[in-house]
Amino acid sequence: MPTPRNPDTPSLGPGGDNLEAGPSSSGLGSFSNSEIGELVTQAAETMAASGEDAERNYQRSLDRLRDRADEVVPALGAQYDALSEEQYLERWGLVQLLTDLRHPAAVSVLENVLRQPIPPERSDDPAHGISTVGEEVIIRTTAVEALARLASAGDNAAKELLLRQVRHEVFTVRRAAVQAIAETGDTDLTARVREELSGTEDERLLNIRRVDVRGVPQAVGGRYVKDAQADDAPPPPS
Amino acid sequence: MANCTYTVPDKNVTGDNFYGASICNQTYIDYFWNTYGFSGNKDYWDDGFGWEDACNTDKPLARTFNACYLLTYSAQDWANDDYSGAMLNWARRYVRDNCDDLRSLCGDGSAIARSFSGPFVDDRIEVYLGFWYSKDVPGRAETLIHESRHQGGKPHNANFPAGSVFGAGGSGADSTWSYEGAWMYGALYLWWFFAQGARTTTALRERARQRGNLVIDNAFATHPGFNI
Repeated sequence: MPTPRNPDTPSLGPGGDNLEAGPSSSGLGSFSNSEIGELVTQAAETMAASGEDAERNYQRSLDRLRDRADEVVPALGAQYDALSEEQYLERWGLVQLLTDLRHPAAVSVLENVLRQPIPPERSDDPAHGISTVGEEVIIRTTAVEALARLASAGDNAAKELLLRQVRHEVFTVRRAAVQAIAETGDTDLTARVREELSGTEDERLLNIRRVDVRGVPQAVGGRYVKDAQADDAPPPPS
Repeated sequence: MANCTYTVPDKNVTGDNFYGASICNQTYIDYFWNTYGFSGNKDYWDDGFGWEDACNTDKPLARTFNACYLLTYSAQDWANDDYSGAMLNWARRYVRDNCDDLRSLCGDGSAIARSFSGPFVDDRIEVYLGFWYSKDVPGRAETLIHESRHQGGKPHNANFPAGSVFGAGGSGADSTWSYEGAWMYGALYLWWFFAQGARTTTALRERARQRGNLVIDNAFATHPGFNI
């Protein structure tokens, strides 16, 4: 049954603020090779597409990128460098594309992403606002995930780069690297990590486990509820 | 009254193109408006914030509706919002039960959202520019859950740990995972969304995982000892 329309007429008195469109974003940016740019744009669009064939279409677009990986990967790397610092979401999108690409050629680009120093916090209030350092860290932990997938497939360059991240300046990146190495199943590599962390403050990283959501303490629903509403029935999803 | 401007980040990356394809339907607009605290707050959602243009995912209202859609329909069995089930199911109910008034404002650039409550205070959640233009759609849902937890009466109770990206030593952290504060609520929701999110994309689920891990590693005075 449709929800009754609420007319919500304007009220007299002070209202809200005014908002206007500012400069437009470059999105993922423009590529010097327009053909490669078109392939990347298609991949980005299918990455966010809906419908029954969405995942299949995304995988097809990734296949097309892999077919030209020698050109595509450096182009993605150059584009990453060309984006401005504050384009955190777009930079993450490019790294996520590299992650899904699962191509060994990506290691050098991921190395570039990971070795760039994290700029100082730009937010006056990172707890309540957007922590720009946090956004930078998410980009880097996604790069670690990309390396983890390659390392699990046996890529030695990815393994070595992961090992270097165990000494990264940021705790979350170090934690992600240690967990990624543990999940490669490479006992030699894992032993090297243990040796490196043994006796240091970071030895605790060895005890932080990646687990399934069903295995962690859940929130007890229904507590600290201000105003329990009547049951409702949303319209079905589209 | 403040004036502000915005720049829209890539809408494929944020998920706004994906969810925007669903929300442009009067049935959903009616439901979201009446359910998640918009009703009675038109003055805060017009003048460029999207009230006159509710399908335009460049603008705050549609971008908030996208988060509402994610919140409402990401559980496979979306119709079951019983509090005894998984948080992926009942998070929408928790926001519905705790967010009476959801208002959009420019903000001063420091916060993306704030919760106001208490004696002689008009209980409300305010969301600001960064909520729409720095956060992806799952991150916006996380924020609605986080602020709703404050509306429900759970303040932060600790300082951020050493090295935290949210400001080491500063206030605003939760002491532990078991405190079940706003950070735990947000992270747990992202975790479920990563693990079982329906009607979404693998990229957005991966993004939720990375954000959830950032929160787990940085927002608790004592690390929970596990990750996503």
